[in-house]
Order: sequence, then C-alpha cells, then structure tokens
Amino acid sequence: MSHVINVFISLQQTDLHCVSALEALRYSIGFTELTQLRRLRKISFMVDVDNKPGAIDCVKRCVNESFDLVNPNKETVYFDELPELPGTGWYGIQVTANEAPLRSVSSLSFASHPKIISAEQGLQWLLKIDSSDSSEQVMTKIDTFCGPTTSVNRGLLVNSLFETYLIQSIS
Amino acid sequence: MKKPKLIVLQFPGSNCEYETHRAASYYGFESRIVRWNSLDEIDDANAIILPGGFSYQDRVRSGAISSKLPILKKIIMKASSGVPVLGICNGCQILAEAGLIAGVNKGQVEIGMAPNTRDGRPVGFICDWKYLVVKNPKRSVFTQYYDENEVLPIPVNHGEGRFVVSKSVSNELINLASFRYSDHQGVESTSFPINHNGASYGLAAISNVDGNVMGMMPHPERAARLRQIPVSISGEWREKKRQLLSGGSDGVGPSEKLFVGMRDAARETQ
Repeated sequence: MSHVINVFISLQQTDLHCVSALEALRYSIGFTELTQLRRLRKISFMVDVDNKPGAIDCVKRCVNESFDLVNPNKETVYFDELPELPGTGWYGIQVTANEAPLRSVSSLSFASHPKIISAEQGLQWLLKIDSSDSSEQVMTKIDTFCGPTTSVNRGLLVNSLFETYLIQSIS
Repeated sequence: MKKPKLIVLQFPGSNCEYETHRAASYYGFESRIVRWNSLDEIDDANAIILPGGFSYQDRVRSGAISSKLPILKKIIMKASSGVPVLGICNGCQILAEAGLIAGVNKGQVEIGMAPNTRDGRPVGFICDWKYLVVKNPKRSVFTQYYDENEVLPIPVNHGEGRFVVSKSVSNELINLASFRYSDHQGVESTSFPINHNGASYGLAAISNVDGNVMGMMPHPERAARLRQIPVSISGEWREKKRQLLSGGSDGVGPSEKLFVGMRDAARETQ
C-alpha cells in the first residue's frame, strides 16, 4: 500500500520571494487584506509502506541522509504537517508545475530508499488575510488577486498556463 | 535626420542593459539607460527595450514581479500608441507576464515562459549559440527587412525560455511567430537539440498582433557585430567571420536588420 507524505521546507532567514510578492500584491494589485505571506518548498513523496508512521519514518531517513533535499543550515523541515501559524485567517495556495517540477528532485537521494516510488516538488504559499468576509469569499478574492496571473492588475503567485494550483483554507 | 530616442529599461537585476545600449547606439538610436522607477523619463521615448537579466532575482517566477511595476502600465500605453517595444530574454518574460505579447486579447496574459524541458523533464539553464529562421517578416516591424526563412545565428542564455501559449494564441501562432529555432540550413524542429528548451512550435520570438511589440528569448544584442560571432558557427556567417579573422574589417552582425527595422519604425513615432 502506498502513502503520500508531504514535506514542507521553509527558509530560516527572510524569504525575499515573499517580500517582493507581498509588496506587489498589496501595493501594485491593491489586495491590502493580505497582511503576511510565507513560502515553503513542498515535496510530495509517494512511499510504498503499509502504514503512515512507517512512511513518514522512511521519508525522514531519506531527507536526513541526503544532502540535496534540505539544507539544515538555513532551512527548517516539517514532515506531513505545516508549521504552526500564529492566529487565524490563514489560507494556502499549492502550486505544482504541469510538465516538469519547479525544481528537479535528484534521483540520487532515493537510490538507497527503494520504498520511495516518486517525489514531486512544488510550492506552498501561506497567506494571512485580515478580513471579516466568509471563508468562501476570501478564497474567491485570493483566486482573483493572488492566484493565476491574468493581467498586470490581477494575479501573481501562479501562472496557470504551465502550473496547477489549489487554494486551501487552513486556520 | 534626427536619431530616434531609445530607452533601455534597467530593472533591479538586469545585466544586459549596457551591451543592448551599445548595439542600439551602433544602429542609429539615441539610446539611454533608464531605471525602472524613473517613470517620467520614458515619456519621450520613440522605442523601448527591456533587456535581459534576472530582474528581482526571478522572485516568484522570472519577470513576474517586474510585470507588476508602475512603469509597465506606462509601457503598455506607449505600445498601444505604436511605439516599438522589444523584450529580450528576461524582457520577453516581463512582456509575457504583463500580457503585452501576443495581444490577441488585449491586456490578457496569453503566454507563459516556463522552465526549459526536454521530453517533459527539466534541463536547467542553457547557454549556447542557436540558429533562428525568420517567419512572417512583414507582420512585425522588427523583422520587416528580413526575408521569409532567412537563417541567423544568435546566442541563447536562459533557464525559463519555454514558450507556453494559451488556446487563443495557439490558433494564431503560425501568423504571430517571428523567429523559430532551426538548424543552420533553416530546417525547423520542435524537438531537442534544435528546440533546446521545449518551446511550443519551436518558438524563439513572437510579435503582438499589431507588430510593434516582440518578445524574444535569444539575445540580438550579442549578435549585433560580426566580431561577436564565434568561428564555430556554420553557414554564411562562418565565411564572414573567417574573412574578419584574415584581416578584414568588423561589420554588422546577424541582428542588424532587427535593429534597423526597429529604428525605422521608431522614426515614424518622432
């Protein structure tokens, strides 16, 4: 039986992608309800192990033994869970490239881990929205203002011509 | 005759603005480099080039952050008034993210510049000399002096240069393509290694519907003079380069007609 284990990797320092994206979304696009933006690399491992804890252990061993998946000097890794987020109003956008992964995940890392069937890399954006609107309304706004780029005034975090995305309500 | 004014826009992270400025000056422009936040300085421009580089460190996606800058709204206005706008490499990525190419549905993003791939797998950054074949030369001011199917060698230097087009553009692609990747004899291909980045239709450059905006991934400013061409190149340019090495004088490069076409179009906006 196979399980999908998501690994989220965040920078320990200031992420300049987020600084620029937050400013563009707030000041160029005008989505001022967005107050914080975080970005994590996401690697989805498909593991051929009977139970989920065993699958997580397998992925942990793989990540910890490899040198090219995570840089522990500057990155923090979360296995099958997102980092703890302060307060409420957090939403997410998962982005995956249609054809090739955003960055290739080296097959060398998996050579000694035959139970890992595949690994696909993408991005997980976390957005804190300060709004009294319902969750559905906020997700619609995120789709319009932050999601797929359609013009100079709309969208930034996804290019739907070659990426797929999923908007999530997190907390 | 008064030289047309050309603005080479310098974004934070641009790295080809000086060679672009030199190439444009050589071909008769009154060229100057203007920073991305000098909004008023492009008002009198007769032509605009967005040069190559890594604007904003390619944050989010290449060209994505730059395409949201206030100056892009000014460039869109200038382009709609007929001013020729050329995006080279990162400039092409910015034009695509801003919806300036291909302009089938005005203002809409119709072209994506995706990471290079080979058979669906990533191939990373590619730096090489390639051959382009000219398509629809009369539809764009940049290619107006080329002949249909003329071949020119030109360098490429990018990691995200794969043209991906929306449905609205794919129907028009045969008409809007300005340059496609080919071999030195002009034989086109959509597969590796001729089409090194997996671009749709083997696209290297595409113009807008009006013919005054073009986004191209190869670098014409690095093929503006004969001395810039390597001896390893094939075709007629090899002979010209050999003559140069045998004591001949330096002359124009393969992208001469592109700059001259742009200059003559810019004169009409003076």
